[in-house]
Amino acid sequence: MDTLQVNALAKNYGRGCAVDHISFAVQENEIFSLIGPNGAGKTTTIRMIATLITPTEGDAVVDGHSIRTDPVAVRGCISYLADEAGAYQSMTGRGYLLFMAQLCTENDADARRCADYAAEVCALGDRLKDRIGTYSRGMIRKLLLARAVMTRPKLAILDEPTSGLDIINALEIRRLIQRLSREGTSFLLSSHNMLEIDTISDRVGIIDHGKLLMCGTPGELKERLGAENLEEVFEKAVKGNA
Amino acid sequence: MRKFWVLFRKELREMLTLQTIIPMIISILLFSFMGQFVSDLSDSQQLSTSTLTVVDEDRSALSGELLTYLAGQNIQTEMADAGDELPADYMLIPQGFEASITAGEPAPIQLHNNLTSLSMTAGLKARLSVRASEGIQSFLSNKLFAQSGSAYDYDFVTHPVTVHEITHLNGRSAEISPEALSAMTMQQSIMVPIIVFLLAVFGSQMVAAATANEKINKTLETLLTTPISRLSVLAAKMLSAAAVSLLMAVIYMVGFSNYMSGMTGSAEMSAEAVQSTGGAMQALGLQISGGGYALLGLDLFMTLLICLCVATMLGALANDVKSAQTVTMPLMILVMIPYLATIFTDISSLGPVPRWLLYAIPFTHTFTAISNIMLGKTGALIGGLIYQGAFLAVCLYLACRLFSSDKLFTMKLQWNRRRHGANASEN
Ligand SMILES: Nc1ncnc2c1ncn2[C@@H]1O[C@H](COP(=O)(O)OP(=O)(O)O)[C@@H](O)[C@H]1O
Ligand SMILES: [Mg+2]
Repeated sequence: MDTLQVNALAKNYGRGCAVDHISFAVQENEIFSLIGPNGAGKTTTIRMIATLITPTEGDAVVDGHSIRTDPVAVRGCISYLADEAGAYQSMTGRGYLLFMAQLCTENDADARRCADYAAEVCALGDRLKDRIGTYSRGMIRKLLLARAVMTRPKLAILDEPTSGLDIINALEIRRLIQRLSREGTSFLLSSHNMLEIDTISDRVGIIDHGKLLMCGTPGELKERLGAENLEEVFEKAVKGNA
Repeated sequence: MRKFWVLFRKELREMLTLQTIIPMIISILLFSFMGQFVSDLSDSQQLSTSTLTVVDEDRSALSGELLTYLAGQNIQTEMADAGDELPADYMLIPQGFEASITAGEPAPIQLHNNLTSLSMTAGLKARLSVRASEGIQSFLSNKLFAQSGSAYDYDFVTHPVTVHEITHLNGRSAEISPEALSAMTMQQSIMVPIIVFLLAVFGSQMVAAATANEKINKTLETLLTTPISRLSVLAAKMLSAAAVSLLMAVIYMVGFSNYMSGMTGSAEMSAEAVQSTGGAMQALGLQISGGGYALLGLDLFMTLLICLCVATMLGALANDVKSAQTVTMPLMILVMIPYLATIFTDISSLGPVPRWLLYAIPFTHTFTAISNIMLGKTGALIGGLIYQGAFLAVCLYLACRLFSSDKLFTMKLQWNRRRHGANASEN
């Protein structure tokens, strides 16, 4: 069974379709990336799947639970990292992980276990004792990513996980995502940087103006359109569609 | 429940930081200055002159002389009979005044004050009658000295008149000056509104800022995708802000009662005077019972929850830090208007349009509650409570709807479109 099944999902904010009936699936242990320029509708799609926004039409099913009819169950098996998300400045890194773990688990022992796992994943060491206000962007992103996977969700939804980071930090984040996917979590990512996503995605979906233009492994798409890289794939896909 | 407490503790920690506490303390100081300013203002108002109504029941040569004297002192007088429709304040020269003076007995003069409300402007003319009675005292004293030197005893010649201040309220009367009465009621009638104001201002600012920051930092999105009920996210925010503002209220109340006891001490109020004032308060039916305090407490808590609920919604709809700071302005104005109105006028005496406009603001009922309780206007009190309860229910319903729908992320509150948003959340 697919971890995530998206069926003709659409959202209209009142000024035309921001997301126009898109469908795709994410399999178990897969890293699936939505790529497209700014304003393409990636965040809207992701927020619908993360149960923050109700779709105008269509549905998505996460691990057998519909986001429309059973959002509470969906929240139990996903985790979500918003783009440019922050954390509570006055908490320490460790305090934040524990706080989030307490909200996602049913008892304190589980919460501690989750927080310990997250502390190991983010590899911030002693800096976890410092206030988050003193962290760099890269450190915050690692902390939040660790938070997102600490409950070992079925599906981790990460919106632009590497945007705004320097090369080294972005590289570390990508490696972390790859490692975690092997440990049993499926990922739905989004990015407007088509080159960087090439290396970590098992499959990508190209989205523009709310429409999913094509879907497949990076290799398949490049071959199908005779392109060198995903940027060229995107260019040709948009032209072919126009 | 466990998750709620986790959230609640986190909110408390976030709200009790230096950035939130320092402005609070500054405003507390500011407000105690404002309390002083208000009482100074009411003093200066009382000095303004107007016509003094005199009921001369004595109709003697002496009382006629007194009236001529007052006219010479620039105090305009207007004669009236006891059967006439009397103004709120008047001076009464009882029958037998002249006879009493001639007999060498101190003669009484009554200064009547008919209070219709406990607001500051009531008893405006009190000073004039006091000034007139003081003038009469010295005029008569001089006259007696000139007349017959040592024929009368010294105490009588220096104080030939005994002044009785009689305050009427709600058909009851007691011998007490309106100033003494207002000093006693001030503690309740000023302190309560100020506490309400503090609670409303701080609580709202705090919860709006906290909610807006969570939204802007996108930590709210994170919270809303975790398996916690959205109601507990909302409740943790509102109740922690309520707890912090109640704490502030207690701190303020302690400070204020210290300030008050300092003031009454300096006014040289003897224990006897305080006791007789207490007796007069009781005679006028101004004592608040335990039930009265319970209703007042209920009223304050409802007011606080309405403010916090509206502020949470406004904060949740803010899209940037700047609008987060200004977003509670309309709420503050809605608290400010009835606050000032109750200080400077008596709302129930206003024309129907401004009166009902004021009554439509739920906070008006908070500020009138204390005098409604004191004056025994149970109907108005209960009516206000019911209205506030209904208003709170609507606000809570809207807040729950907001937090459980995607309006939080799709609705925008901007300056140019804000009336729309503010109306939607207030009606
Ligand atoms: N809350 C909103 N209200 C109205 N329109 C929105 C809202 N959020 C996004 N949009 C519009 O929807 C479209 C898709 O936006 P988004 O999903 O954020 O794109 P992306 O994440 O791919 O950059 C854009 O045209 C954007 O202007
Ligand atoms: Mg986006």
